[in-house]
This record gives sequence, structure tokens and C-alpha cells, in this order.
Amino acid sequence: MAPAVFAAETLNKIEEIMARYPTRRAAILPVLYLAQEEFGCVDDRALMAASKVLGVSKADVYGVATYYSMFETKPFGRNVIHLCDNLACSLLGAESLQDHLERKLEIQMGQTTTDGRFTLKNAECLGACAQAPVMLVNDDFYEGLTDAKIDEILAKYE
Amino acid sequence: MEKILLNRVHLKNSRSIDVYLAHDGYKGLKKALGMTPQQVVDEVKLSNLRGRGGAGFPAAMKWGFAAADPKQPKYLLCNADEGEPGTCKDRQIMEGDPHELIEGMVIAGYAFGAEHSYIYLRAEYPKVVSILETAIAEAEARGYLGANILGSDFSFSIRVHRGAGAYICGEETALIESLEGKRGQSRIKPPFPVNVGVFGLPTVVNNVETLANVPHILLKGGAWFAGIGSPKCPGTRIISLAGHVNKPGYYELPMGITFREVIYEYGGGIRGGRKLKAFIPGGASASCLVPEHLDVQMDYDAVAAAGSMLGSSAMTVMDDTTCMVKVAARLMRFFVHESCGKCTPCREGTEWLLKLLDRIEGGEGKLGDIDMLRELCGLISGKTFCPLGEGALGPVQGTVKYFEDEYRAHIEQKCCPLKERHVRQ
Amino acid sequence: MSGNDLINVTFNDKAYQVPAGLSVIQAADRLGICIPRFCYMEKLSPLGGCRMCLITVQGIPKLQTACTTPARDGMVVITESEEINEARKAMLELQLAQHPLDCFHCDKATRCDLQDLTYLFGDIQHRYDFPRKELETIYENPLIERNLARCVHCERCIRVCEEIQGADAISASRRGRPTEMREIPGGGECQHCGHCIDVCPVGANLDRLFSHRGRPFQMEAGGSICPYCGCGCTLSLNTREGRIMRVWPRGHEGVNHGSLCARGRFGWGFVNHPERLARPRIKKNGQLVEVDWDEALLFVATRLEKIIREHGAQSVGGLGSARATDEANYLFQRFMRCVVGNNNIDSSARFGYTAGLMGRLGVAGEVREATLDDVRRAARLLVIGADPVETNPILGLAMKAAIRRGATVVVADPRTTLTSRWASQHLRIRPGSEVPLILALGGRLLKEKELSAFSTDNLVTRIGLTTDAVADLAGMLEGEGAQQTVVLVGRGVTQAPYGASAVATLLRIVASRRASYLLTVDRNNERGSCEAGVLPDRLPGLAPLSERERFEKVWGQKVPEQPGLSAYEMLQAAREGKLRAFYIMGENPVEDFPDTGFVEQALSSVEFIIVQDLFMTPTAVMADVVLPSASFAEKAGQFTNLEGQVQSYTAVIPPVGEARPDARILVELSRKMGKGFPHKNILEVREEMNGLVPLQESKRQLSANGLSHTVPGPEVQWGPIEDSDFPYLLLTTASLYRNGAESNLAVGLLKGQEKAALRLHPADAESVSVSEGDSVIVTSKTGEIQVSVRVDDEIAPGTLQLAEGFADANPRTLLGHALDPVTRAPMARYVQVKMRKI
Ligand SMILES: Cc1cc2nc3c(=O)[nH]c(=O)nc-3n(C[C@H](O)[C@H](O)[C@H](O)COP(=O)(O)O)c2cc1C
Ligand code: SF4
Ligand code: SF4
Ligand code: SF4
Ligand code: SF4
Ligand code: FES
Ligand code: FES
Repeated sequence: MAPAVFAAETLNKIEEIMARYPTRRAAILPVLYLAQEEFGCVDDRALMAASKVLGVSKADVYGVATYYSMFETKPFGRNVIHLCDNLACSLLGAESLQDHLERKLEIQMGQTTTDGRFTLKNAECLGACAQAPVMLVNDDFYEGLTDAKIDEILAKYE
Repeated sequence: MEKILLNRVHLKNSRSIDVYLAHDGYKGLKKALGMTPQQVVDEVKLSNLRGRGGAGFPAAMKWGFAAADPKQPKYLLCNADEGEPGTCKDRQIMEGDPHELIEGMVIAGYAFGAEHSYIYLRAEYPKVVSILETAIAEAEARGYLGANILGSDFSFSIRVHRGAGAYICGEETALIESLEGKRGQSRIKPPFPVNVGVFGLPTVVNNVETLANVPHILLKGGAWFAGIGSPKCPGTRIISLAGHVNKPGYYELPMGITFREVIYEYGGGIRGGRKLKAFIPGGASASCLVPEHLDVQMDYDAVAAAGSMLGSSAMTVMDDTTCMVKVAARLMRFFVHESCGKCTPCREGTEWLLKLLDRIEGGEGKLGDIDMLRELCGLISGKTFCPLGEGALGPVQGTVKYFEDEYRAHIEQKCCPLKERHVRQ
Repeated sequence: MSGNDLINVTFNDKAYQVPAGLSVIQAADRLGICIPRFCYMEKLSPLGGCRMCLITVQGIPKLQTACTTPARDGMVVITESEEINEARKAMLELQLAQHPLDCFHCDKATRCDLQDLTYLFGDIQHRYDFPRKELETIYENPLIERNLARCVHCERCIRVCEEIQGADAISASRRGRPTEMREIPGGGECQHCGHCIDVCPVGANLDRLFSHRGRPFQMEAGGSICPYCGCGCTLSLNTREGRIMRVWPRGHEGVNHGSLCARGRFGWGFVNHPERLARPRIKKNGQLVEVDWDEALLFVATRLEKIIREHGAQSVGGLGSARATDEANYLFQRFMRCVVGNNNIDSSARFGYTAGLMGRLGVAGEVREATLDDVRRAARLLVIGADPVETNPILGLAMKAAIRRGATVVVADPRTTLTSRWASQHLRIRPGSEVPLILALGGRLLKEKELSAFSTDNLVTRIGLTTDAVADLAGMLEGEGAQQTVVLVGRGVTQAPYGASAVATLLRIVASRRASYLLTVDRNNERGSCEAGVLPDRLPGLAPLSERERFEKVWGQKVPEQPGLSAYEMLQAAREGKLRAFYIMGENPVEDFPDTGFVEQALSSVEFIIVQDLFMTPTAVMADVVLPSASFAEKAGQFTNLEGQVQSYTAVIPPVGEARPDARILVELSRKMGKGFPHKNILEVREEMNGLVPLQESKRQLSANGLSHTVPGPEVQWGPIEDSDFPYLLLTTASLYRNGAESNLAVGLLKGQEKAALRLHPADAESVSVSEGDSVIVTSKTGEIQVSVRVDDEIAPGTLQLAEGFADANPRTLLGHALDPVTRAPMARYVQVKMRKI
């Protein structure tokens, strides 16, 4: 098992981030984002590493990490699809898009493809209701989705 | 009608500081720095600018409270958490005209004496982080931000802080907790943030749209702003229009216009020529309204009188194919997911409501379930710690009120009476 | 607003006055008006989550929560009405909706707030008709089970763990309805104080040692005092049929204010341990065999008399006990002085409290001694050579409370400890530099000639600090704020060469700055044993032997004039064959005294050894007579805590087997030896003692006449001398989970931490190629132990840290016993060792 510490480079980044706040603890969200990136998810090692740099107990880091939807305590795919299924997107067909995605990727919501390429998740309103239905793949936004558009989009991700 | 907030977003390279400067950019700031902070507060007071985050609190009053607190340093927090389902107005400003927000923040900071600020940005807008950071760097490079702004004694910093996916962090005290690195749950008030805010210091939390108005007010005067739209809540609002309309989108409109105009003129009417069944006037917490309310004016009081609320002015329109039980259940699922869990009524009550709604929608409802929904709303109402729990009742109360027959039909026919189903559980 | 301003409030149409600054629920509590609650607790910050305390405040249409609403002058409050009742019932119906309702097998049943409130309101509806949450019990903590489904989400446990214990071991995880209050798997941050069990209003956090040992109404509760460390916490022993079932704090009572540490809470397991000695034993043909009391006492009397007759009274040594009661110690010294006829009396306090005491006696006039409450209120804390969080956990909590109120804490210690981790500043001085550091402070602050040599830069560098750091430290005792400074002094100072002189110097600084001080005290009654007269040169109340006439009058017996030998002097004498008999009451020198090899060797030369103890300790094994004594729970007595508070307690359960209280054994033995003590019961002993040493506000009026201390010259060798054969320096520490032999027999503490762990820096671990959990052999000039390692990058490279108290890897085996010239105690806080992997 890899050690429960951040790489030196990440630590530098963290120090830089911490300088933006009057307390170390305030950097917990950015540190957790980095931890999730470095360790693949917010697992025990990530918690330990984050707890150490932040000077916050592991239990508290865990409490924070599990509070927010963006952090996963279990490993996930290389690409994360957040399909919005809140009201506006639902009204315009998010339901059938979900069926399409699940069929195409052969997984259910919340699961990861066996090749680790995609993790499929529902999202609450993504703030693009006027372009509904929408999804977020990693950091990229896709609007006005149709089954065909989804096929095209997914092809872009390795 | 002339746009104020979105008057630059259609320009080419609208995000760049050069385009911004070429179109009146940072002129408000220059003017403000020539005034005393108190004069800036007074100008905004004259404009009667009210908060666009939902509560409609007068901006100048909040600044005045924070300015009066002797503790230093003070903080300005820009609330860019925009999590209310249906809402996407702040994003238009940040993506299309980030300097408008930055300029507004610097002026606000100057007005009440803040040195530092953070933009608390919702996690689901990852691309906006770099847009804002680029704009901040540009502003710093040109001396509109940072130490000794435009040669004055005033220094001000802005940092972007990305949230991590929790709707409740849009509530200002939860936002503060979250920024401090805790589980973002609402705080006990008093003390209020203007006295004991982030890191224990005086803090003003303002919505993106609120702040974006400020440069315009400074530039054109408070009196000019006060004359736009409704006198009680002057200015424009960016309305997010979504759902079964032909032309969904963002429309910056003066307050006081009717829903009919929004849906039929700007939104181009219901898609496929279908009939309007219901519409939600102000985000997920707002109770739905029905066609008979089409002529209600869009202002806080009129919408409240109609039994709903204007909230974040996010409208979702539903045609006659929509199952209203499913709509209620879908929105309730949102609240169950977003309840922070601190208080008993919201934590326990929302989940119970959802189970009832799911049961009815799934054709397994009992006859008493509709009454139970009403009574459960009664158990919860007025007792939650923060407004989220109260807001969670909106979708149930509206749909039960206007569509009780549809609920009953679900129970009696043991299935959804509508053929087409759009809303997934 | 000053603290005693009163405001006018109206509750339910009646006018009252309450102090300003309270919340409505606090005001109501003080007025005896009952407002139901789950989440509110006076000692915790308010949460406002459960919504049970809803009330009406005139002028506000919505119901308000009493726990989050400040009481204001002129406020009109209604706490009972139809609306309020309905609202509270609504909260209960919602709480009960998913509750598993498994009261039938819940340890909390009949003491549960959820049951009580539901019962109180009577007609709560149960309309929730979906499946309830499944019972889910988490057993990640060896001592605490967490029944997640029973949780009412009041977050008391989380707040108490953070705000009082400072452990942050539990947190709320996830959000909304799925929120769980728990530790993280393998978290390891829990300090097993058990607070989270106490505060839980329902059966969601439960004591695993107790689990199903009885319904609350089958328990009897008896007050007692914790037998472990010098804090002297008030306990409530829950017993059933004469056996302890669990231990609680006693409300908010006692110096501990309702808190306990792991030892107090979970350390009771030795009391009913199967290995407790039940009958006296005497050695016959090389075997210890059980006999009745009469035979045993007669045997002791005869042998002692013979030895005294043949070899003189001086040939008998006596160890009283830093753990036994004041009364037992008082009788023990009287026994040695009047019945045996010498002053050879000492205890393990010799290498703890006694040095501090000798320092104190070296200062003429007032020096303010802090109480735990003073520590809680302190604005500055200067901690030198002490680790209160582990040695005296409740003192540690007092320190944390002060920190929470904004106190600055500076810790000067070569070790990384739980205390140093809390410090605003940790000055990592060189090992062995506590004394020169204090002398350097004296040089700055007292401006005395003998001390001036210690403020030279050269010396300061040897301490391992910069002159500026020493100046900062001195700053803690300067200016207006100095009166709010409390100096905590531990064994790093008292057990160092010239420790007593250093304490004297430090206390002179403290006195001159009107600050206050407190000595940490490892064993529960070190202070009481000294004050009871278990010292070779002091009578009860610390009276010098020259005042013996006063005592002789009361005792009607002669007191020898010559000072006796101290503990190690007796051992030395034993080794030289000069000590023929040794009476050891409640001490375990073979395990508990530094340089165990030396101790064992010394004792093996003694002809006749009497050991009075609860267990067959390694010392008892060497004895000729073993007398079973009653544990703290089985007898009455007094302990004197680290503040000097004399606290009495009574028996809660009958003694195991034929075990007897120490005091009774001594009285009976005195009678067998023809110089019988008159006392019929413990109260008569106490009365006699109080007559000689009066109490004032439960502290003893001591004869604090001066000792004179010479300040050592700067040429003294302070730290260790490098020795390439023994390249590492092992520093001893304390552990929350151990304190004496009994703690190694308490199942709760074994569960808390099973074995000792040697903490070392990753680089040192690497140099002997070990990683976390591997075992090493550590060897010093005097002994060898085997222990597993824990790698910790906060430990100073080149040093190893090992806690005292673990029977499986005892650092006292490695320590030397070079005696301090002043205290004649072993100077043994560290030792040079080598280490190899197994
Ligand atoms: C549950 C909840 C969610 C909220 N979400 C947001 C939000 O996403 N953005 C926002 O600006 N205000 C939000 N608010 C309102 C804020 O608490 C606060 O009133 C606002 O940021 C103040 O800014 P303003 O005075 O400029 O409107 C929310 C309030 C509640 C109760
Ligand atoms: S109403 Fe209560 S549970 Fe819901 S979000 Fe607010 S504080 Fe949390
Ligand atoms: S026993 Fe003490 S330290 Fe452990 S979780 Fe409970 S409160 Fe925290
Ligand atoms: S475990 Fe007990 S104390 Fe902790 S939140 Fe649940 S009910 Fe409250
Ligand atoms: S060991 Fe000390 S601190 Fe712990 S409960 Fe006992 S007396 Fe209190
Ligand atoms: S509902 Fe999907 S983006 Fe708003
Ligand atoms: S006691 Fe006041 S809300 Fe819980």
C-alpha cells in the first residue's frame, strides 16, 4: 500500500492553497479535491494524509468528506458522468437518457464500468436547466442531450 | 427593455478585461474610490438594491451593519453556490461577464471596509473557476484588485473557493461553516454574520447578481436604479426559464412583469402547442402555481399573495403530460438528498414525505396518505432549524392543493393516471 | 455587562430575575422550570437541532428553541401551551418514526430520555407505517458500542468529544437522514474517556464492558474516588450483588466536573479480578501457603520482634504507599515509628511528589498553589517536563478548557506528548535540560548572583534553545498577565538532578510574579502519603522530627529522634545486608521502582519481607508473608489529590475473600506486637490525624518550615554523556491506559491498549530496519526489554519514547538508579540504550 502522505509536489500546492486562508482547516475542501485526485478517492490513506496536513482529526476529515457529494470514499472510474435528473431535465427526458446510458455502459447508476472507464452518477440540478437535459463529464458540460449526442460525447473519453 | 446585468455577455470575448473596459468597465469603481465609503453605502441605499439570493435583504443595510462592527479584518463572501433547482442566473454573469462581478465586489468591499473576499462557487461549475481566476488575475495586473487599488489606500483580495456539492451551503451561515472547513450546516443566529461571520469576523454575504448590480448603480446613480421596475424591489432580475416551453433561456427583465408574458412572450409558449398545467415560479422550494395565476405580477409580494414565492426567480413550466405526484416526489428527493440532518423535522420529515409520495406514485398509496401528507407538513412546518426544511414542503403543499384529484386517482387506480411519464423517480 | 447583572423575565405569567447572559433554557433550568430537550446540555455549546425545547416568546409568531434563544431583559416566555405541546409531540413522533424501539434489550431502558419524554407526553401517535431502520451496531471501539439506529442525532457525543475531551474521535458522517455518529474505521483517535456514553440520551453509545449486566434499577451506585492518578476524580461505582458492573462520574460533582479518563472509567476490572488475594499467605518450606489471619499476624509479630531484638530497630525498613489511604499511611508511619522504633519510612512518592515537596519547603512565605479550576481559568500555562494529558488526564482537560477560552500554552519538554501537541508553542529542549532551563529563567527573572551564570548564551545553547526563546518563556511570567499564569511542573523536573532546587527556584519566581503553580502527581495518593508522615524525616503534616513531642503526647508512644532512610537508601542498606526486615504496604518496587534489577537484588538479601497487596505482584512473590488488602472500593478512607484536597470516600462493596483494609491490618498487628493502637474504626484514625494536622477547606495546614537548597553550579552534567555503545536515548513517558500494577489487570485498560509501544522517528526505524508493529530488543546497561514499535515522525530523531506502566515492556528495567544528592531519589527519566530488530 502506498504511504499515506501526499507527494512533495502536491504538498507544495497545498501550502500555496493554505496561504489563501487564515486557518489551515479552511483549506479542507481544496485539499480533499487534491487527495481524491492523488489517491483515486478519499480512502483511508487520503484521510490520513489530509488529516496530517490540515491538523484536523481523521474523524473530522471523514465527517467533512462524506458530507459533500463530490467526494467518493470508494474508487471510481477514470471519467465520471453526472447526469442531471432534477426536475427541468426530467421533464425533458432525463429518464430515457438514463436508460440509454445504463444500457450502453451496461451499468446502473452509481456503478463503474468493469474497464474502469466510466462511473455513472445522478446529479442534482446542474444549473443549466434552460439547456436541459444536461450532463457533466468530468469538468465538461453537455447540454440539450439526446441519445445520439451522448454516444458522440462518450466516444471522446478514454 | 434595456439590459443592465447581461448587456455585455453577447459581445465577442465578453470575459476579457479589455472588452469590459471598453464598455464602461471599472468606471463605477473609479467613481466609488473618489467617494467616502459611507457615500458609497448611501448611494446603494438610495438605489434600494435588494439581495438577489432569495431573501431580498437591502444590500446597503447589510453593509452598514458590517461597517459598524469594530472588529477587523472584515470579509465579503460572494454567494455563487447557485443550487436552487431551476436556477442558473449567476452562472450567466460569471461566465459571460466576470469583471462585472469583480468590480461589484471591490466596490462593496470598499463600502464596508472589507480587506478579503472569497467567491464560494458551487462545485458543479468547474469551468467557472478558471474563468474567474483569469479575470481576477487580469484585474490584479491592471490595478483594479490587490494592494492599493488604483493608487488608493484601499487593498482588496478575491479568492475563488470551490464548494463540494451541498445545496445547503447556499444558505449564508452554512456557506460560512463550509468555508471554515466544516460540514456546511446552518449556524445559530444571533450572532449574525455581519458581526460574527467567517473566522469569527464581520462578514457580508451577497449573491452574485446582487453584487453585479453595484457597478451600474455607482456609475449611473442610485436614483436611476431605483426608478427601474417595481419601486419596492427595483432593478431587473435574471429569470431562468425552463421546462416545457418553446424557448427556454435566461431573460433579464424588470420586476413586475406577469407570468403570462414570461411564458408566452419570452418563452414562446408551451412546446408542441400543449396546455399549460402548472409552473413553479421561484425554485424548488416554491409551491407550484396553475394557469389561473398567469396574470400575477412577478414581484415578491404579489407572488406571496398567490401562495408561492419568487425566490431565485427560476421558473419551471409543465404541460398537461406531467404527473404532478411525480414532480412532487422528484423535488422531495432533492430535499431528502440535501437535508443536512441537523434538525429532527427536516431530517425525519422529508424522508417520510418522500416515502409517502413514492408509494402513491407507485400505485400503492392508501386513502389516508393524502391527509397524512398534509398532516406531516403540519408537523414539520414552523419548526425547522433553517429555511431548507420549510422549503421542502413547497412542492407537496402546492401539488396537493391544486392536484388532489390526481393524487386520489393514483391511489384509486393503483397507478399513474397519465399515459406519458417524464419524471423519473 | 458584568457577570452579576440581573434581568427581568416572565415565564408562564410569573416574573423572575435571572443573571444576564443566559439562554432561555439556562434561565428556565435555574428557575426549576422544565423544558424538554435532547440536544441541549449545559456544558456543551448549543446545537438547536432536536427542536424539543420549543417555546413561545411574546412578540415572535413562530415557536423558538429555548436553547438557542438568549434571555433578554423584559422577555415574556411561555413554556407550556397547546401549541407547544403539539409541537413537542410532533418532534417525538418524528424521532420515533424510524427508531428501532428495541427497548427490551437496550441497556439504557428506564434511563432513556426518549422513553421518558414519550412516556411524559403519553399520547404520541405512531403513524409511520414503513419499515423501520434495521438495528446496526458498530463494534469498532473495543470499549464502546454504537447502535446507529437508536441515535436521535443530538450530536452530544460529538460535541463532548470535541469540546470537553478534545479528541475529535467521533464525527457525524454523511448527511441528512443517513448521518451516522461514529468513529472512522481504524480511527484510533478515541481516548476512551467514555464521555460519549454518559451524554447519550438514548442507548446509542453503550459501555461494552457492561453490556447486559443488569437493568438500571438492579444497580446500586456508590460514590468513590478514583485510585489511579493524583487528580482524585469522584466516581460512581455501579454495583450489583457486590461486584462492580460499571463506573460513571457522579453528576457534575468532584474536581473532575463530571469527566473521567479511561482509567477512571474502564480501569475498575482489577477489583473483582480472579487473581485477587483472598487469604493471607506465609512462607512454609519455601512455599507461600494460605493461612488464617491470626496465624499470619502472629507470624509477622513474632518474626519482627525477633529481628528487632537481635539486630536492632534500625534493621527494619518500611514502605508506606503512594496508593493507600491517608489513614493507612498515617498508621503505617506510626507503626514504624512507635512499634518498630525507627524512621525508615518512605514510599514511591520519593521519586515523584517528594522532590516537588522538598522544593516547596525550600521557599519561605506564600506561594500560590493552583487548583484545577485555576487551570481551567488560566490565561497562560507554562508546562515544564510534564505531560498532564497522560499522567493526570483531568488536569489535561482543564488545560484544554483553558485553551478553548484562549489561553496560551507553552510546553518545554524534550518529548512529543499528547500535551505538547496541544501547545501554542512546544519548546523541544535537550533531554535533561529542564533544571538548567528553570535556573536560566531564574537568572533572568530573579536577578540573583548564583543564578546569573545560567543566563549565559553558552548554557542556553546547551539547553537546546535560543536566548530569545528563553526570553519568550520568561515573558510568560512577566507583566500584568503573570497573575493569570499557572506553571505546571512534572517529573521531567522533579526527577532530574537538583530537581528540588529547581522547583524551589521556580516557585520563588512564581511567588515574585504572583503566579501560581501545580505539580503533576502520577499516583493517586503520593501527596497524602507524604502529608500523613510517610517520610523518613517528617512527621504527619510534614512536621520536622524536632516537633515529635507533640505527637508522642497524642500517641502515648515514643518517636525516635534520628531521621530514617529514604527508599533507595533502604534498598542500598538491604543490599549491604544491613536491613533484615522490610515491611512493604501497597507498593510493588520490583516492577514499579527505577532499576528493577537492582531493586530485586536488594530485596533478595532481606531476611524477612512482609507485603500487603491486592495481588501476587513480583514483589509479593519474594515475600515471606503476604497480607491481602482490600481495594479502594471495599474500604473507607481519604485520598489527598494533587491540589491538596483531602477527599473521603466509603466502602461500596464488601472485600473479596478475607481481604482487609490496610488500616485494620496495621491496628491488629500493633496489638499483636504489644503496642496496640486504640482505634476502633477508620473515623477514629481520621479524627486523631485531623487533631494533629488540622484541615482548612479540606486542605491540610502544613508545617512548611524552610529547607535550604544550594543552587548547583553550571558545571553539573545535565544531559546524558554520549556513548557510542548505546546510541539512542530512551525517554520515559506516561500512558493514559496504565498506572500501576492494577491497571495491567483491568480488562478495560487492556482493551484500550493491549501492549506497550516504543515510539520512534521514521529515520531511526529505518536504521534498524523495522516498520510499524515490528518488535525490537532494547538494551541498556541495566536491562533489556522486548517491545513493538510505533513509527511517528513527530518524535525527535535519536530518541525513543516508551511509556511507564505496561507490564509487558517495562522501561524501569532499563533505567539506572543514580541518586540525586538532594532528594536521594533515582534520577531516572531517560536512559541510553541500543536497539536491534528481532
Ligand atoms: C436553503 C437555502 C439555500 C440558499 N441558496 C442560495 C444560493 O444558492 N445562492 C444565494 O445567493 N443565496 C442563497 N440563499 C440565500 C442566502 O442565505 C443569503 O440570503 C444570500 O446569499 C444573501 O445574499 P443577498 O443579500 O445578496 O441576496 C439560500 C438560502 C437558503 C435558506
Ligand atoms: S432544516 Fe434542519 S435538517 Fe434541514 S437543512 Fe436546515 S438545519 Fe439541516
Ligand atoms: S470515549 Fe471519549 S474520546 Fe472516545 S469517542 Fe467517546 S468521547 Fe471521544
Ligand atoms: S449517539 Fe447518542 S449522543 Fe450521539 S448523536 Fe446519537 S443520540 Fe446523540
Ligand atoms: S486516573 Fe486520574 S484523571 Fe483518570 S479518572 Fe482517575 S483520578 Fe481522574
Ligand atoms: S434540472 Fe438539470 S440542470 Fe437544472
Ligand atoms: S434542546 Fe433545544 S433544540 Fe434540542
